[in-house]
Amino acid sequence: MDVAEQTIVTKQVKDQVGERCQKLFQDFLEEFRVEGEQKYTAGINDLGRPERNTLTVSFEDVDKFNQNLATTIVEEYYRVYPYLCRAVKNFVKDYAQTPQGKEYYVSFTDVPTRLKVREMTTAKIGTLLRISGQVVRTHPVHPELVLGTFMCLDCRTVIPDVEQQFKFTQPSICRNPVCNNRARFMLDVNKSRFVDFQKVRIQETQAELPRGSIPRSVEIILRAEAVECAQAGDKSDFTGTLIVVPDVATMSLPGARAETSTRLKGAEGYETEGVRGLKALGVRDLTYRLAFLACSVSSSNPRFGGRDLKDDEMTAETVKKQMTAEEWQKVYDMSQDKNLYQNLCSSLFPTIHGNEEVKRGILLMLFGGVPKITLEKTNLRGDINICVVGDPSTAKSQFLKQVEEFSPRAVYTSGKASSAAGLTAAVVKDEESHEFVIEAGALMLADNGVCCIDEFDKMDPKDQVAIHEAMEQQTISITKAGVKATLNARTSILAAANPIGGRYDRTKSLKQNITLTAPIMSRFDLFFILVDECNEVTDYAIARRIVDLHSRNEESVDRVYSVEDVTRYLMFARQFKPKISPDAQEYMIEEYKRLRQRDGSGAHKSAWRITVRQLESMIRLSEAMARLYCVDEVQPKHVKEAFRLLNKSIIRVEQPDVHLEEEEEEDKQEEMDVEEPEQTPAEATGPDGDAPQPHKKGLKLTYEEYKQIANLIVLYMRKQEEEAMEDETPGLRRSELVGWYLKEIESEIDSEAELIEKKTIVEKVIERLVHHDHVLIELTQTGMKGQDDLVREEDPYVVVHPNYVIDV
Amino acid sequence: MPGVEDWTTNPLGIVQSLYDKHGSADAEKIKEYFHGKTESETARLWIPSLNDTPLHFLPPNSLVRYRCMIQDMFDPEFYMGEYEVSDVNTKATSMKSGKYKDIAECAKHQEINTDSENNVTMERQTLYCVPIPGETDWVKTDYSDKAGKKGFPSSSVAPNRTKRGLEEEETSQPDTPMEEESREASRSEENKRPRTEVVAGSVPRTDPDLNYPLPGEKGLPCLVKIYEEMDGFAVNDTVEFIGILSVDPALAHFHEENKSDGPQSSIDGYEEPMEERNAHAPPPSLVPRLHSIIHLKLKHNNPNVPTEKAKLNSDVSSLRTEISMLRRQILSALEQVMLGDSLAAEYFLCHLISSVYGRADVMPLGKFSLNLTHCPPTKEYGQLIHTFIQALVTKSHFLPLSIENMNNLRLCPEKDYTANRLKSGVLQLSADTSLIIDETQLQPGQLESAGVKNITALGNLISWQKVEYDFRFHRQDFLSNISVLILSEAKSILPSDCLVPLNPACKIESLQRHFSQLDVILTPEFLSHVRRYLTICKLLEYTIDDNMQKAIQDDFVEMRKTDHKSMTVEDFHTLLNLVRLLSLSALETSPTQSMWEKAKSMKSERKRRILAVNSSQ
Repeated sequence: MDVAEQTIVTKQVKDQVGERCQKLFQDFLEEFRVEGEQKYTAGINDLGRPERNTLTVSFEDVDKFNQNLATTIVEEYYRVYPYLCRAVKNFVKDYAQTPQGKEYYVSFTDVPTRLKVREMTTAKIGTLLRISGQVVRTHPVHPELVLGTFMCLDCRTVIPDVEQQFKFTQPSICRNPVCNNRARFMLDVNKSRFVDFQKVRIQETQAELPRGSIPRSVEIILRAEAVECAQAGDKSDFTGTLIVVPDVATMSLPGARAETSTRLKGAEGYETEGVRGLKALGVRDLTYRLAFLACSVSSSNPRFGGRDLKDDEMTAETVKKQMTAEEWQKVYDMSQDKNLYQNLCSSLFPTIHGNEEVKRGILLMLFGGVPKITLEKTNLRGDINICVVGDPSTAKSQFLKQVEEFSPRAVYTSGKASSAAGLTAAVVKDEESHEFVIEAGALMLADNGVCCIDEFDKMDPKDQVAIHEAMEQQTISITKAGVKATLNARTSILAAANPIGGRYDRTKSLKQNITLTAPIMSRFDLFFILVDECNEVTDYAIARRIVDLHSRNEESVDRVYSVEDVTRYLMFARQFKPKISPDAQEYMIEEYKRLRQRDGSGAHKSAWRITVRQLESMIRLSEAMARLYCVDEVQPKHVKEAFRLLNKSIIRVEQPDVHLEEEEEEDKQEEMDVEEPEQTPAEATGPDGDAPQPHKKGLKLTYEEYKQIANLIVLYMRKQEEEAMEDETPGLRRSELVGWYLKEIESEIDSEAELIEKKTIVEKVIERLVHHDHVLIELTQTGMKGQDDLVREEDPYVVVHPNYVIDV
Repeated sequence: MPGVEDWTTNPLGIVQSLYDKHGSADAEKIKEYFHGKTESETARLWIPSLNDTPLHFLPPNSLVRYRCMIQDMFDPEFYMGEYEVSDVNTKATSMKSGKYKDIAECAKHQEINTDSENNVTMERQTLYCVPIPGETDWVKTDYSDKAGKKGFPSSSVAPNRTKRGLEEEETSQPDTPMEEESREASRSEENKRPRTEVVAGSVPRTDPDLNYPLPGEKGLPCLVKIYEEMDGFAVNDTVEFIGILSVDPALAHFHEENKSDGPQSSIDGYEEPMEERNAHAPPPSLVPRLHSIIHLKLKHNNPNVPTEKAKLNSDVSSLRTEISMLRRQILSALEQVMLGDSLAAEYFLCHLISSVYGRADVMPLGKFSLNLTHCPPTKEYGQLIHTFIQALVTKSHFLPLSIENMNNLRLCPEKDYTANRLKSGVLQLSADTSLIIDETQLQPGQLESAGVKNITALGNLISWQKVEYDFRFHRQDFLSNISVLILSEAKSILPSDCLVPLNPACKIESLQRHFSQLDVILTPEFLSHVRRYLTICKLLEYTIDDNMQKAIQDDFVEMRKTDHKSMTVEDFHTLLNLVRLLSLSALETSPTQSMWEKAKSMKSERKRRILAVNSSQ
């Protein structure tokens, strides 16, 4: 009796579905055309090459060609798979010159159903599906016996093509009718057929994990050309089917026989039992082990080297496709929300009070700018880096923790506890193999994500330097122990730093307040300063919030959008690659010029030069803004907001006192309002009883305006002074100065009220320049030169401080 | 109770008969049946507990209880939920339920039709459970006392002296011949295992790592198979399972046959690697299997506090009648422990009843980690405090913070991909465990990278109540709820919510003698009172009424006005927490004005002390 033949016969009889599929699939391969060209015959000759044996078929094509076939393949994948492979074999035989007797395999891509590891249930056994996960373990590749050729040791009869399934299967009996050998066979390795085999294990990704659960994992079996496609750490998609693997350990026991005998309890009984075939599992043990038999692997994120093609190719369309209708509706609704910017901010940080600017900055960071490649092939980063400096207990860490919680790929690390090696990447010697391997640090792990570094200032300056490269070039180079590599670290950095001495010293500049070097500082797009301020109104709000937290916990966290909504929206919006419109371009240039000018004529010693870096930051922020609204074009309004944020940040960096100055300025001006009537009673044009309304407006003087006016005045005065040298007049009287200024801005003034307003403003500015900034000196000492006895104190000469240098 | 024997000793029979009666819709029916049987607590107590009964006293396939913490979750497994058996002689077939068992069985004259179309594949999940880590002795004793007489030869078997406690058994003197016998039995079984292992040869295994979070733990770990609500469990949950014990030796995959089979069996590598198999299918004598029918998630593991809501309420009201007296007594005892410092005693009490009750995003609410500074720098003090705390709380662990410990201990659990399991760490503790960190034992030295990681982990635990589990490719935060007490000489290197410099009222010559005076106060009745009180305090609900809310808010703004440096947002959190704990310690569910004043005065008293300490240095 020929056992092998017999099995084939029975199969043929049994499986009509398989036969039909084989035929249909072969038809498909032969007939499927894209734009009149036969798609699958084109590359067929390649399959003749010795290292090739797998034909990759897009499942979408099958679906287009014949829906019934597609459905059958999905539902009965495991059953029809051998027939599909046979179809490929016939197809290759017909269309290409290939060596005889070679086995071919089929692999599917673009399978629509994509499952998480956790979603695989019994119902999914045998069907075609795609799962995604992170590869955590790979085993070495080794050959697997598929068809064994045996030789009977008694009569030398050769028994070919004994199918092997999950275990080493000898023929049950010699095919020679007179030989009764059942046990003594020898495998003829040269005539048997093998296929590459590799086992890997994948695990649920972090993002899919329900809270408090241990990630689940599943073993993946890769065969033929799919081996070595996945490395540990990769996040990959696997297409194939879920199978149950019989307990091979028991199956391959010497006593294992085709006949299954079930015994009741008995010391030896269990060990001698065996099972056969896929379905005959678990007689002894009720449980099966699961495995996923994959036919194709698509790496969704190669870890080292190479750009992440998959992500780059992803468009808003593909993201949309992955969403359910409901989810899409939500995203759409969000994109239509007028108050989106604000709502997103409050949804991101519902428990942090105030600090709106910081929230906005971080929100834009999450959206990110568009990375670009210049003509010279240099990469321009799109990621936005932010540094938050502030007093202790101002929720800095909470910002970082929150972002870590929110962002799918975020790493939180503390500068105190990590060296540059821990942050970037280290070369270490593998203990077992003595090979050098590269160990990824936090920055690498957050590739395409956010790296939150707390206590950034506590990092060794040497280590800070080490992350320069990562911050600007978005790569990390390693030259160590003979290993030279450039690794990707496309990550946004969100750093938090404490000021020197624990508290932010308002009298000093930002640079003096933190221990960061200028190069590092310039690599942050935005700097925010958090100061513990005392303000009754905010205190009330804070108090209410905190008491709320402590009294009824659940309700107090109110978000407009849930965490899932926001992350989904983020993912969607990040696919947009907004282009800058001409209008926006114009506006940007304008703003940049202003910044540069201010910088050029700026009146401060802590030179924070406005450089191209800031322009780049502005572009990134504008792009992020456009992404936030899911538009394809950066419009001036986006630039405006970006500029505003940048301004907030740059000014503080540039002239850090300002933060407080703004406050003080306001305070001071408020005070001045009260005092004013007494202080300047005799001003000819200034009516004493100014209504408070215009004053209030005047209080809103921003730093830029203030600086603008001041510069204007100083420049004018310098010029005057130079001229005055000749006339020997000591300088200008204050009223003259005011008069000149008002004349200068005449064109902007429409009404009398406005004139009055402007006048008070300029007076206050001069006041401030004299008393606060000491840029101007009032020559109140009348009669200094003997000529000015008549000058009243109210209208003194003013001169520019001789030591004052206009900062260039 | 005539019926008892049946459903506790032969639950599988009942499952099968229910299956026969109701067909495949049996899941609910089975649960209903056993729920009905175990509704009353007394009935539940009839079921022997794996925690305090040696394994060899329990017949296989009997109903048992098991109180444990989930340490790891394995991947789900598929099994034959229903299978067909046919009679060898008559060829008559019938269906059997495969639920709640590991091994398919049938009568002698039957065989299992593994290929039958009628077989149904089902899914279940395995949880690796360990006895609750850090569970204090009195809890174990009280639980087993409550379960009482089991009809086993010796009801006096100490609860922690289960089969695994080999070392202990050897050192302790046998008190009854009966027990002696049982010990013999257990030992002989113990011996059997190593012997087979020796034959198994090549596997160099001395003692399998049973993955207890805390070193030196004893008790039986267990593989619990769950059939429903698979996503309803989280790691570190404490659960009481009632289910069917399965200890069939065949479950051990440690048979030497694999080896002798040689290269033939290793074709294709479909089988699990050795390490994995050891981790996932340890011998059932060490790690029995339990097929859970009913599970009760434990909110606390205090045997003296009822789990039913109604009973709990009556307990609370009875405690309320004597609360002021009780609180005074407790405080005086705590004062003694705090070396006569009454302020520290108040804070200590608050610390003991603190528990994370919620989270506002990332911020845990309700935690109250206490840093006692200026502790006597002796090893003794920490240990004495630990012994004292152990006598009061249900779960505790003592961790001396030494360079050596930090460098060598594994605090955060990490995933071992070779064996595919989660290697436990010291910080894998269930909710409401007290962790006492003794920093007085820290000496200057070199922290290695592991040490730095461990210190960071402790810091994160204290500030965020989170432990990062290392999954090699990424880290995953798991929420925890552990109250941390730090004893140190000066301000600790670890963060804390509340720093209290100890101010001993009297000069203590001998700590030993000082603490022995406590024994007079700590009578068994008093102790049982205190234990109940502490657990109940943690369970109380707490709200702040609107008036009080307003008053507190106004107060905050007022305080900020006078000196905003002294009242930061963080301080306010701590203060609100303190008033909450003070109210709860008086068994009040909402704060009163006087409570608020008291909290404020405690806070300013504490601040004064810290200032005084700082300036004196």
